[in-house]
Order: sequence, then structure tokens, then C-alpha cells
Amino acid sequence: MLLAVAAPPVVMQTLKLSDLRKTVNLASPQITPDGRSVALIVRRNDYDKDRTMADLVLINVRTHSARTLLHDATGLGQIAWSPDGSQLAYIAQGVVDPDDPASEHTPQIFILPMNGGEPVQITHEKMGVDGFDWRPNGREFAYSAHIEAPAAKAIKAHEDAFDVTDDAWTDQAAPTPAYLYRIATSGGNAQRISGGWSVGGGFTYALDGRSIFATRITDHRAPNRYLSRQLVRINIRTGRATPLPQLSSTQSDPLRAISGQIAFAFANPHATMQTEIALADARGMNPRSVTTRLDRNAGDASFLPGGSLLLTANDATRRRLFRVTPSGAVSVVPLGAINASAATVSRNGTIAFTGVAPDRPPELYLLTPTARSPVRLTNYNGWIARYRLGVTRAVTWRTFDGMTADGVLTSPPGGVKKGTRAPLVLYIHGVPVARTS
Amino acid sequence: MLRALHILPLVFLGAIAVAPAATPRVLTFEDLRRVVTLRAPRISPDGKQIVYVRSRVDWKADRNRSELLLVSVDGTGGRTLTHDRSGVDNPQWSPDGTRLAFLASPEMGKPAQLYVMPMNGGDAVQITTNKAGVQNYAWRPDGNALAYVSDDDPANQNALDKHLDAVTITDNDYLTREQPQSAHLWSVDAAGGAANRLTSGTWSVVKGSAPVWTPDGSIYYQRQPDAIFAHFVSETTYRYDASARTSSDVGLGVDSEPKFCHTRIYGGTSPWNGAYLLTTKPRHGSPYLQNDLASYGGRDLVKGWNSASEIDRNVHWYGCTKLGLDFLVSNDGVRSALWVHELGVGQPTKKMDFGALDVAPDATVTDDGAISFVGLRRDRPGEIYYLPPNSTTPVQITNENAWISDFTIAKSGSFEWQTDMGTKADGVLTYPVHYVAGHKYPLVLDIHGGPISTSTWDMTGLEGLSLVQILAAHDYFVFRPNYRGSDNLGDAFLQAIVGDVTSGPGRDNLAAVAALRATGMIDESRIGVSGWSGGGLQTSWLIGHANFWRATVMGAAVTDWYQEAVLSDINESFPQTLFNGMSPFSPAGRAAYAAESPITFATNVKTPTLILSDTRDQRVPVSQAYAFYHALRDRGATVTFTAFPRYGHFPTDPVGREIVLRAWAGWFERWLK
Repeated sequence: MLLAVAAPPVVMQTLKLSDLRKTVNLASPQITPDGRSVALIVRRNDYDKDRTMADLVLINVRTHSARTLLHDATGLGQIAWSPDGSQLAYIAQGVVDPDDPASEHTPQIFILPMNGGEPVQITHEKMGVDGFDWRPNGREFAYSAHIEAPAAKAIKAHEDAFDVTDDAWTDQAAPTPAYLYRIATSGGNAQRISGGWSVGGGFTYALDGRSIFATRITDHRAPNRYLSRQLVRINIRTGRATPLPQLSSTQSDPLRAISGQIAFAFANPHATMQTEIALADARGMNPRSVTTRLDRNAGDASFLPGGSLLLTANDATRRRLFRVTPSGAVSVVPLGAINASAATVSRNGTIAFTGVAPDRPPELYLLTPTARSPVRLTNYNGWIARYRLGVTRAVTWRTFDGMTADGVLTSPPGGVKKGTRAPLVLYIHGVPVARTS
Repeated sequence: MLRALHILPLVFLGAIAVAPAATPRVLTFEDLRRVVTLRAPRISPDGKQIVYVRSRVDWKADRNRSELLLVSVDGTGGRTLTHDRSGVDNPQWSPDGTRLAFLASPEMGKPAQLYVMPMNGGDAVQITTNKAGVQNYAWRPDGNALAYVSDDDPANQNALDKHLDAVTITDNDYLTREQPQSAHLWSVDAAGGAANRLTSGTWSVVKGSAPVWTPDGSIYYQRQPDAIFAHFVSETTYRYDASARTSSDVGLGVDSEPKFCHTRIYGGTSPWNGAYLLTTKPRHGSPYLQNDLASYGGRDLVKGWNSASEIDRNVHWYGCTKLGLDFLVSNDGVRSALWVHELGVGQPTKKMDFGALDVAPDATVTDDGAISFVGLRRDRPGEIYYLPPNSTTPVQITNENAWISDFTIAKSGSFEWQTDMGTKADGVLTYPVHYVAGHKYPLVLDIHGGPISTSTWDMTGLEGLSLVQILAAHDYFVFRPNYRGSDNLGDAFLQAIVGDVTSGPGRDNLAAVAALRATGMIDESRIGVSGWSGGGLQTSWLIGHANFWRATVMGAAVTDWYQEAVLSDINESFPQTLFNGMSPFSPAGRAAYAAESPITFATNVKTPTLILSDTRDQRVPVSQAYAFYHALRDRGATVTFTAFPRYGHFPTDPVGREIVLRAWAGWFERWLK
């Protein structure tokens, strides 16, 4: 009774659009090889300047403490630990001309030593770096970068007509191909290792570091180029590209296991809108699908210890993590109510992932190999607990032609009083190969 | 032998003496960069001098450099008035002739502002600082102030600064990035100082239109309902009363062309002895179609003479004199003609005959009837001419393009053919430079846009000069047909396009080619077809309806009337005018628009085709080029689509213009040679 008098009931607010400005977004979690820390990108919106600020943050998985490594880093993109975990490489805006700090800025590779010291810009690509991979010995990067237009001088003089093929109608210049380059992690001159065709997706070093598996587009301006991609193995010394066996019309984004095995994505030959995952040997040969039983549109993949794969995929109204063995056996990773966005795996199989719960915007979570449920490592969006939220639940229905479909129904905060009705708004997702979770 | 030795030196001497007889060169694209463009001749109030704008290509900077020049009416004493200014244009003398106003950009790329230059020495003074710049202006009759047109600043600038920049779309074009702002009238002292806003509201002065400030303190201007560009079609004349600070509709209904004549005062008692107003009136309600010249007399604007009763031509320019002479310029056959009408005397309007010289719709006339104009010929680019009062012999007062006489110029003439309307149409046939009678040559059609326009035989613009002369220099016949819808043969011929938008002109153009083939001069295995805008529409239709073409170049082509009706800056109003008021948003309308759209017939195309377009063309959306390209390529047809990363309906920078024309001519060289 005394308590009731002393603490009047708290009337929780409902969300307004302006409240959502407090939302913090998380991206690209990367767990250290030893599993002790997770680096990730933390993005906040500055509404006065109408821009998004990105910090590179390091989370200690034991203490949950956060340390900001880079503050408001412009153009922060891919991040990746060196194989020994002593350095963190990332892409951010850097100068094209190393001798002129005022020169044009494009995305470049930087290395941040984790034993102290400022980041070092490694590349100085005119058109910027698209993506990179550490060589397994940690002494070199392979990276992809678009080349400058061949007629750059003429274009500068306004002789800038270009031939259109499958370009978007908003294009203002012809696309140029992307080539692969290598550069020592200590810097110096880059060396081109591919040409005559364009990199059209991910790439990774082979375990021996002497070759690179890469996604190839034969003609970067050809019709439906992204629906027709190959995997090739490039001999770094000779530059020779050898195609890997094709499982379907398009395959891409190779991933290397500690053992050297290669996984890659390929379009389901019977339903090309669905992505499957294949496993191949360390030479990229003898590929076979491992997702036939999963039968879901596979998203990001990571290798788990022992050669299984961790996959993200939509499943009804959830976005789950699946463990898929080399034989194709599937098990669901227990995430509770959390929907996984991006996941990363340490050498001992600890999984760190960004996830969204029905009542909470993104946070970073950790799932150790023996844990039965994930642990939340961050509290960037704890502010939302002060609000009454709509309650979501899955709804299924029968389609006119006999299929079962589902969707997410969100009720007004506090629900609907018995005997009353609330208006309904349909909010239909796009693409259309996507889902609402 | 000795004789031979004696003769040799004589031969040498003779060779030196006759050296100029070397074969003149033919024009190349590099040569055409030397063309000087002259415009806006304005005679001083005392009738002794002419100021005009000269524009020359700065190839390295990829821009046109313009400047004001002053010359006596006898052509002597020419000198440059402005130096190193950007965007100089639209000079206007003060009423007493002591000062010259003009527009120029304070910095390259900035909006134009209004300048006033004293003509007794001294630098020009910038007298406006409106953020949105000045579009057009007029002197107050006492010479102490000017009225000008400028866009309003956005009312929500604070919100825009915070990026709260959503735009509500109505009839905007598909490239719209911000809410269009209304234009309004302002005034400023001729010496500069604070500007005074005269009008305001959600309606808009028609962008770029010229206000007219009359001695009674009124300012006549053109008004449209809002700031949307497409809505200029409902423009009408309003009168701003300076003392009451109010505007009122003068009651003329839709009167097109944002230019109308200054009023003039007469003595006497009839309505025509007071001020009278000239304006163009769309004969069929739409300014896209034929416009006649109408006069309205006295303070009450009593309806008077209308040019429709006498000359049946689409009026492009007009001016009047104190003497009651109205001058008009219109297309007429394959020429641009000057007509004169004498007010109130009952004499028929007469066409002026200057022999081989034609008059561009860019002229000025003084109170006593002197005219200065840009004169057009078949063998050289335009020059400024002066026609003294009561004279029929114009005097050439500039000689900026004399260099072209060192070149062999292809000859052009009129060619007529029979249409299925039972009447003849005409066009301009340009001969191969090295034409030899009895030989056959390839033919290229270069079809004009508009389509309410005309190809004339003079050497001006992109068609008559650059492209046609380059193609003829490579020994092609070039034919520029004036198909139905052209404004050179009167209202019935023009109006025949309405309701028969694409296929009617298409039949005319096919008939023209048949007539040309019948001459025996054409190599029938090498016939190409090309055109820009409305000419591209025709081109893309023609290759879907005949397969004798050997090569096609279609630029900024309307290939889909439905897209044009929703995405263009002249959406709805223009297509609906040509479709006789039919909206595309009904089953019947959709079918009619499809039936007249070349994309419907793209599956028939077998001709190697080059598609050209600016990437941000607000008039003919680039999406139509994409659609036609995919329609051809996906069927395996030979097609190349070259885009020019620029805003606008055709590149305006010299390099951009030339790379378009090089691609155009190059395609014919590839396929017709």
C-alpha cells in the first residue's frame, strides 16, 4: 500500500517519428580470431547536418565494454581482422595522391595496428577500392578497384558520350571494369593481377596464398551481366584465370575455410531467384550443393570449426541462423526471439551477430559454442524500453491457389479493446524476393 | 630544248599568279567551330547605331563566349562594348538612347542579372541582385527605372536548409528536383538600389516573358496559373496598374508568345489613334498550333486586324512603327519571310522580296520603320542587316563569317512532292558538294522536330549548317522534308497533323522519298533517315514501316506518346493537343496513343540504328530511348545507343554539340559508304 502511494503508475509513451532519430544502427561485426573482441560499425544520424556518422567500435566480449577506435570515419565500409588478429584493416575515404592531402578522396584500405598507433593508408586508388582480402600469411592484400575510364582525358574535355547497353537510365557515364590488385600490407606499389574481364563479386585467397578465387564477369557491360557470373581461380604469378566447374548460370562470392575448403553462392538452377551454397575442395573443384535440404534463400555464410557453414536465411517471418553440415544436414541456431542480421565466427566457433528483436532495434549478441541462447553485448538502443510498442505476431493464410503464405501483424500499443475495431494499414515489402520479419 | 628553257620561268610565274584557283576545301567539323553567331540586333532610338550580341565558340573552355558590339547603321565604326562577361544577352536601349541595359551573369554559372551601361563612357553597373536572377525586363518610358521578371525564393528555405525537401508533383517533368517557384514582377531604379516587388501570388509570370511598360504607368505581362512549366499554354495578358498596385486580366483570353509589341500613341479620334497592342493569338486555342498576329486598339483594347485574314502563316516575330506599319516574320515554303501590313489603310499584307536574302525572326524595328535583322543566306551563316525606312534594299553591316567563302558550299533548293491530302508539300534538298549530273548518290533524310516548325534553305542552325553541310561534303544528298504539321504552308497543312500525329507525317515522308527516288539521282541501296526530337519520332516510325532504309539515326526521339504524356515538361498539354484533346488515360486514348507510337512497331525494325539522347532530357525523357533500344537489341537488331551526359533537349556546349553531330554523321559514313 505504501509502495503504491509512493510510486504512481508510469504512463509509457508511444513512439513518434522524432523518437526514432535515437536509433543506433550496427553493421559489419567482425570477431577476432581468438574470439575475445568484436569490431563493428556503429552508425548514428545527425539530423542537424542530415548525415550519418560512423564509428568503428571494439566490444570486449567478456566485460561488454566498448571502445571507440575511429570517430566519425567517413566512408567506413568493409572491416577485417588480420589472420593473427593483431591488426584491423578497413575501407574508408582516403587521399588518392599520397603527397597531396587536399587531393581527391575515394575509398581506400587502411590498417589500424591493435598495439597502438594511428591508422595507415595502404592504397591510393583513383577510383577507390571496392573490397579486399587478407592473404593468409597476413603480409598482403588482394583488392578490387574499378579502373578509370579509358578516355578520361577526352571526358575531361567534355567529349563524354557513352554507349548505353543495360545501364540504368540515371547513368551519366559508362561503367568501367573492376580489376584485382595485390599490395603489401606495408604499402608500396600495387600490382595488377587480373584484367580483360571485370570482378563482379567477392574473392578470396586460396590457403596457400598463391592463387585467388574470384567472381568474374566476362563482359562488364554485357546483357544481364549479374545473372551470368563465373568463379575463376587466378594464379597470382602468371595471372592465368582458370574457370571452376559451373553448377548453374551464375555463381559468386567464394569463401575460404581454415582447412582451405571453398564455399560459394550459386543460383538455384531450377529457381534462379533463390541462392544456394556449394562446398568445393581447396582447389575449388568437386563442388556440391549443401543447401538442398535447407531450401531457403541463403544469405551471408561463414565457416564454423569442423567445416560446417553458418548461414543467414529468411524462414517464414523470421531471419534465422542455420548450421549446415558438409553433408547438408540443417539445424537452427537458437536465437530466441532475435532475428539475425549479420554474423561472424571465431576460430573456436563463438558466433557474434547483430540482431533485431521484436521490441528492440539492433544490438550485438554473442553465442558461445556451448550456450543455449545468445547474450546481448551492447545497449545502444536500450532507450526504446521506455516506450509502449505495438505487438507483432505472425499470421498465416491460404492463398487463392492453395499455397500457405504468412505475414507480420502489428497491433496498436496496448492492443485493441474487445468489441472495438482498429483501422488496418497494409505495408507491403518490395523487391519482391524479400520478406518482412 | 632552248624553247623549253625559256618557257619554264613563265610557267612558274603563271602558276604563282593563278594560285588562288586551287580547289576550295569542303567544310569539316573543325572548320565549323569558327562560325560566329549573331543575334538580338537593336537599333538605337536615334536610329544611327545598332547593338547586337556576338557569340563565338571557345572550344578549349567548351563554352560560347558572347559579347555586345556596337556598329553604325552604315556598317562602320564597329566596336566591342563588353569584355570578359559571361552570358551576355538581350540588350535594350534606354528610351533616350543614353544607356544600354543587358543581361549577364556576374560569374560563370550564376543566374543572369541586369546591367546598365552609360553610352557616354563608363563601366556597366549591375543593378539587380536577385538570388534567382533576371529572366527578362523592360525600361520604364521615362528611362529612370526598369521592370524585370525573377523567380521567387522558396518560401520554405529554412526547411530546405535542413534537407526537408520533399516535392509535391503535379504536372512537373520527371527530372524535377525541387518545387518550381513562381516568377513575379519587380522594379528597380536604373541607377540600381533596392528592388521593389510589384506582384506576388501562387500564379506566375510566364518564365522568360518580356514585360511592357507603357507611358500611362501600366505594365503588361503574361500570366499563367502557377509555376509549372507545362501550364504556359494557358498564358494570358495582364495589366499591372502601378498606382493601384493591382493586376487585372485585360480580357484577351489565351494569347501566346511571351512577347508583344510596345504600344504607340497617335493623334486623331478613332480607337486606332490611341495606343494599340499586338499579340499573337493561337487560332485553335493552343499556342502549340498556328499563332496569328492580332491587334487591339485603344485603352479598351478593341479587337482589330488579325493576320489570319491575309497571310495564313504562323507568326514568329513582329514589330510595329509609329507610322502604322506592322512587320511580321514567318516561315513560307522553304524560306523565312518578312511581311509588312499597313494599319487601317485596307491594303493587303505584302511579302518583302530581298532576292536571295531571308529574314530571321530576330529583328528590331524603329518608330520610323527602319529594321535591323539577322539575315539568312544559303551560302553563309547569318549576318546583321539594316533596312532603312521606306527602302527595299537591306545593307549588310557585319561580315563576321566571311571566312566561309574559302570553302565549297553545298547547294540547296526546294523540292516538292504530292501528299495523300491532295496538296503538295516541300522540303530542302541539298546536293552533294561534288555532284555530277547523271550520277547517283546516297540520300540522307534529316527530319525537323517540333513538329510545328520548318526546315528552311538558309545556312543556319544545326540542320542547315553543321550536319547538312558535313553530309553534303561527303557527297550525300540531304533532304529535309516539311511534312504535314510544318508551319510553312498555312493553317490547313499545319492542322492536318492533329489527330494524325505520327502516321500522317510518316506517309508524307515516305511519299517524299518515293518522289526523290523517281528523280533517278538517288542510289536506292543507300538511303538513310535521321532526325532529332519530333524528327526522331518520325525516324523511329519510318524504320518500323519500311525496310529500304540502310541506316538510321534517331535523336531524342519520341518513341512512346504515353511516356511523353506523363514524364515530359510539356506533359499532357502537348500530346493532348496533337491527339485532338484525347487523354491517354482511357482505354480508347491508350489505344490511340499506342497506335501513333513508334515503339509499337519496333518489332518490324531491321535497319541498323543509332539512338542518341541527352541523359537528362526534360522534353523527351531518355526513358523512351532506353525502351526503343531494348526493343531492338533484345530482338538481335543492329543498334547502338549513345548517351550524352547533359541536361536538356540537345547539348548547348560546343563540344557536346559537335560530338552529337560527329556520331550522327559517323553512323552514315559507316553504313552508307
